[in-house]
Amino acid sequence: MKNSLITLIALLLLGCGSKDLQVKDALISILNESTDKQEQYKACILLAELPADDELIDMIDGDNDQPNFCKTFLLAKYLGSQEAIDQFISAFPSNNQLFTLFEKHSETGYIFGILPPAVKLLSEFARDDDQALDKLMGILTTADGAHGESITEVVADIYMRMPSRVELSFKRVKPSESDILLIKKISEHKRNL
Amino acid sequence: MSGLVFNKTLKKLTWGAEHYKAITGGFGLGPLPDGDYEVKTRNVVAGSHLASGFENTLTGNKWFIPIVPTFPESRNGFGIHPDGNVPGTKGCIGLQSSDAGSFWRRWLNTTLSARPTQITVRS
Repeated sequence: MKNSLITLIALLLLGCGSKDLQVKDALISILNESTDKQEQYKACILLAELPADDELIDMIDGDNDQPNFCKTFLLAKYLGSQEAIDQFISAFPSNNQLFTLFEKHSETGYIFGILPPAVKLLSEFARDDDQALDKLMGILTTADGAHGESITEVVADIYMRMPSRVELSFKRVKPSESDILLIKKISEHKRNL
Repeated sequence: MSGLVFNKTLKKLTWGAEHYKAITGGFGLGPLPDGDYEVKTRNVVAGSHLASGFENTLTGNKWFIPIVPTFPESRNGFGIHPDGNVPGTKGCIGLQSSDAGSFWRRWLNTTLSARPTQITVRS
C-alpha cells in the first residue's frame, strides 16, 4: 500500500494530466478501503491538494463510506460554501480525537508542515468566521509543543488585525490566562517587526 | 554518530563536544518531560512558511526537528527549533539565536546518516 501511495505522489508531482482519474480513484480507494489509519490520513490530505472538479466533488460527496471528518474537510476545501464550511467546523474533532489528529500528523512525518492541513484550513476560516475562531481557540488547550506554538501564532496574527473580535472569542471560549498573555505578547512582537 | 543531551537546569543542548544555549517551557503544559526521545532526522520541516516562533531572528532561517518520546507520554508535538518571537516554548527545545545558527549549520553539514537519532532530556 505504501508503494502505491509513493507512485501516486510521483504522478502528482509530474502533473500527469491523463493519470488524474487514476490518481483520484486510487486515493479514494485508499481512503475508503485501507485498514491503515496513517495511509488513510495521507490519502485524505493528498486528495485535498488535487484541483477540484465536479467529478472529484461528486466522488467525495456521494460516498457515505468515507471517514466523516475527512469528507467534511475535503468538501470545505473544494467548495468553500458556507454550508460546507459550517459542516467542517461542526465536525472538527476535539479532546481525544483532536489529540489523535495531531499524533497522526506527526507520525506521518509532518506532510505539508507542522500543522495538519485541516487545522490550517480552520485557521483560514477563523480570519472572518467567529465559529471557526472559537474552535481554533478551543484547540489551544489540547495542542501541545510545536502544534500549540503554531496555533498560538495564528491567533496572535488575527489579534493583531482584529483585537476586539479576538477579545470576544476569549470571553466565549475562556482559554487559560497564560495563553491569552502569550497571544497578546506575540501579537505585540509581530506588530513591532 | 553521537546523540544529543539536553540539560534543562543548565539550559544547554550538547552534541558531542559542542554546547548550545537552549530553553524549554514557559508556556502551555510546560517544559519537555525528562527521558529519551527519537530524533526524526527524515521529517525535518524548514522554510519561510513556518511561524515566527521557529525563526532564528539573526539569520531569518526557520526550521523544526521533530523528536518523539520513546516512553509512554500523553503529550506530543515536540521538537528542536530556534526560539523565535517571545522567549519560551510550549514544550519544544528552543535554541537561542546565535547558537541556533551554529547548531543548524552543523546539522546541514552533517550527512543524513550521521545526524543524531537520539536525545536524552534531563533536569
